[in-house]
Amino acid sequence: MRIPRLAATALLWAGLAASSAASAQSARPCLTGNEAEALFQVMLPDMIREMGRVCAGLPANAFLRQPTPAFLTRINAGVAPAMPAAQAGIRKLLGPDAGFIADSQFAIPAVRAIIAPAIAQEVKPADCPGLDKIVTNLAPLPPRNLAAVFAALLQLSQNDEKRAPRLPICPMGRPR
Amino acid sequence: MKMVLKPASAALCMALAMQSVQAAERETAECMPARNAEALVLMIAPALITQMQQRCTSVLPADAYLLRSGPALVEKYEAAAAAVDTEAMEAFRFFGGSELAELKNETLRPLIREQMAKGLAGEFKVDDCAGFDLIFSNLDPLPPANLARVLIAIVQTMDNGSKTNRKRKKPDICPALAKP
Repeated sequence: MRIPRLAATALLWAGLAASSAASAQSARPCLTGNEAEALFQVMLPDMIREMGRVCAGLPANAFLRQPTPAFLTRINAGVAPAMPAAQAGIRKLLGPDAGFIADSQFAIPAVRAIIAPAIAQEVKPADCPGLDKIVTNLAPLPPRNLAAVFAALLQLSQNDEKRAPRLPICPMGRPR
Repeated sequence: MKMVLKPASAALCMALAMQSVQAAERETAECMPARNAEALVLMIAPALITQMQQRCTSVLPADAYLLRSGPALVEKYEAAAAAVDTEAMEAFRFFGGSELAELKNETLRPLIREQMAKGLAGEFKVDDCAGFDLIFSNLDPLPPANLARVLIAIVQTMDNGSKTNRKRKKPDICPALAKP
């Protein structure tokens, strides 16, 4: 059951990293789908790198240990365009008093520094072959699509209130 | 997240449940190879997509991906299902007893597809339609076979931590192994 928790954990830690600095507010801010997507897109290279590190027991030619240059180029190129929306999401979670931190050059590195150990904690060596298969088969997707899938999965999980971890992501409403 | 893992795991649970009596009698039953489980996912995908389109018509806007690209999407998955039909039927017969063996593939195939798709579609809440539409639209560039592999790999990886599997020491789908 660790895979479903992986993406949730990443976003939860990112959210907590931002919101722990925020002052107590009655209305808890939440990330929109676009903001959550952007955060994922920004974190994607770190998530892949960290999974490769944790999964060092995989054969040397496994995708996670040796992602194709095209894939790495694609996910690295996805970071910059997603940065403004990711920062907007962090700013929202931080609240008006500390929102300026989101604009600092340390905001994203701080989130990254928290994500890497979170992934290392969630991924167990037994999960590595399965994770490798998942990433290999999702790799042809543009990073934005990949991030959107993760974000939508998390939003859907919020519909299942009993099981869902409390994430700082807004539930998805009916379109009409 | 739980919701989205349901399609693959529920599909297999249903397949296995239909043969649970025979399976229980076969203490030595092996696990189902992943490629067969993936084929089964592809086999029921077209009927499942159709069911979801029907359920979501009342809540999705007309230009939603699921409604707009419905027939093309079904066609794409029909082609993928046809390519792995043998493996899918093997998957269904995996735990099969003598009664199942007597049924021809032509008889069994539509039953599997319709019943499993109907059962799975019943698991979805209409509130989830927008989420599924978003997921399907973003997965559109992915070949169906990749998607089936991802779903089964998720089930395999979830099985690593499954209390049920730990108890009976026998996973439904063979564990994913690192390729040498």
